[in-house]
Amino acid sequence: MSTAAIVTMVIALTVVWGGFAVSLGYAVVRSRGTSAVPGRDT
Amino acid sequence: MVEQREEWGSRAGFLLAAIGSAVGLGNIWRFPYVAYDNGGGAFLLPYLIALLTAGIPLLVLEYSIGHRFRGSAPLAMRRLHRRAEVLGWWQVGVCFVISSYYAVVIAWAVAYTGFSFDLSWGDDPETFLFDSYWAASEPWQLGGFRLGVLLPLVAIWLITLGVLAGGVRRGVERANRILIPLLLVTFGVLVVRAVTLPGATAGLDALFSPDWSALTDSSIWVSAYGQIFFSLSVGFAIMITYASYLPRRGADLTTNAFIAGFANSSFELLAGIGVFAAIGFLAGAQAVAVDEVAAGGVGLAFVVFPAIVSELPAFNRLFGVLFFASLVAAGLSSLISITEASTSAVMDKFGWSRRRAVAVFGGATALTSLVFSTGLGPTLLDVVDNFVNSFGVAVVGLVEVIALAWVLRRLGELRRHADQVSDLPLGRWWTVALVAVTPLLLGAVTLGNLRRELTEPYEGLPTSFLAVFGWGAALLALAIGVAFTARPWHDPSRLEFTPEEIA
Repeated sequence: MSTAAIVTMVIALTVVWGGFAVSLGYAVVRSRGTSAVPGRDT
Repeated sequence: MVEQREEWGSRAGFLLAAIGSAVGLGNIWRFPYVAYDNGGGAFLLPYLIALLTAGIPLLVLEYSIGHRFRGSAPLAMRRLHRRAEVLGWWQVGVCFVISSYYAVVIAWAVAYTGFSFDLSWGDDPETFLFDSYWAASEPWQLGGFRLGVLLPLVAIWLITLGVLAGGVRRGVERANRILIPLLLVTFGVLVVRAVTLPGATAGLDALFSPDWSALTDSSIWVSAYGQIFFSLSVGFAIMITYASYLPRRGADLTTNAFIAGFANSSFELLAGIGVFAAIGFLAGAQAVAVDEVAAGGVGLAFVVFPAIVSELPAFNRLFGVLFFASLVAAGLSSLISITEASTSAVMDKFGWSRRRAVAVFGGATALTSLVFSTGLGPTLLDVVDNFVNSFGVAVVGLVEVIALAWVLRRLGELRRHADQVSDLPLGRWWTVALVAVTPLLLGAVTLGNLRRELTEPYEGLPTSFLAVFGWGAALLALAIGVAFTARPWHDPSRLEFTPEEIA
């Protein structure tokens, strides 16, 4: 596997899975202020 | 009086259902080949830009419409503007057509899960699929029902309609709480197995090696926006309906859109890795180049993957079961969402109970889908799918954005609503994305599709066949929209609606 392909794959995985983790983490942290159970404020 | 509406049991329930709707067959069989065919690794740059400048803004838009106007697509649109109801029903018409054939593909996957136990396709999966399983007939010849398709199709509809009859919380939410974790486990195991196969790196190299020169080709950008648009279940009533079941307060629409959008792309990328690692293995086993075995769509799922399963050195039956079970789980969660969008619309308009709406409208969709279990079914499905996506989903999505952003100018109101109920405030980027970027790129997608259809007959099929079943299916969705809009509301007082301002 070429270096360019490896770098591209790692960057792509980091961006999309990172974006998912950050937005989910943000939701959990923010919901702690309104609910005893994170993520169950609705 | 505040109108009562069914609600999700929890935020996680809504997110699982929204992600389950977005993650469908296209994530597994469309994205990997589109990426490979459009510059490989370089495609991921326009793809990510498309996610941020069209995909997530569209999700926020549809969540805001559903949540502010608290109804299925036709009711929410009617409350938004008197003349917008037809847009909602047009989207329901698209749902009706898509769900009628989408269920059949899941039925094929159910059958192939069973075939995996004894590798029924033998040495020639293509001949097995076309001549034995489908026993496909020529255009204009119905060819009779194929029991191997019909029986799993009936089972799929019984499950789907049973889930919908259970309601939002006890039906849709509960089903997704089972299907999404199941999909993650089955597909996760499959990806781990795929990347550890000999030759897997050749496939990954083909998928991720960037051809940066491709970025100067406008068609790559159009493909990226098309992929994001078709993948996120926007433009056909689902996200409006699902958001209408969120409670008035604490809905956090914007953050939910980011979570659902990134989750969909995360799964899509994972699918690309699993699929191309397996394709790399097959290329190595058959001593051919990756581009000779790379494929997308039905060919990837039901011809290339069975060949991969047969070539595996060990645990090949398990690999087959995992792959086709993943297709079933991904497809079923999407089918539930598509059918729920139609059911909810009928309940709102005619004042029907959920069970009656499921039985009548869902039953009518199920009966229509039976035509796709005949010998003509596969050809018909291919044509209807192509035309209803190109001239149903894409066009109605384009009209929706232009109507809201340019004609009715309601983006400001919807942005204020999203900000009122969300932790994450929207910036000007959201408005710019929907006023300029999305209409421009979605318009380019539609024009490209139109040019392609007018210059060469799809798959070389007879023009008369394409006119009746291709253009006919796209027009049927619009005709359903017009016909249902013309019907009177069971309870017109529901239309006298003032959106609640949430401080």
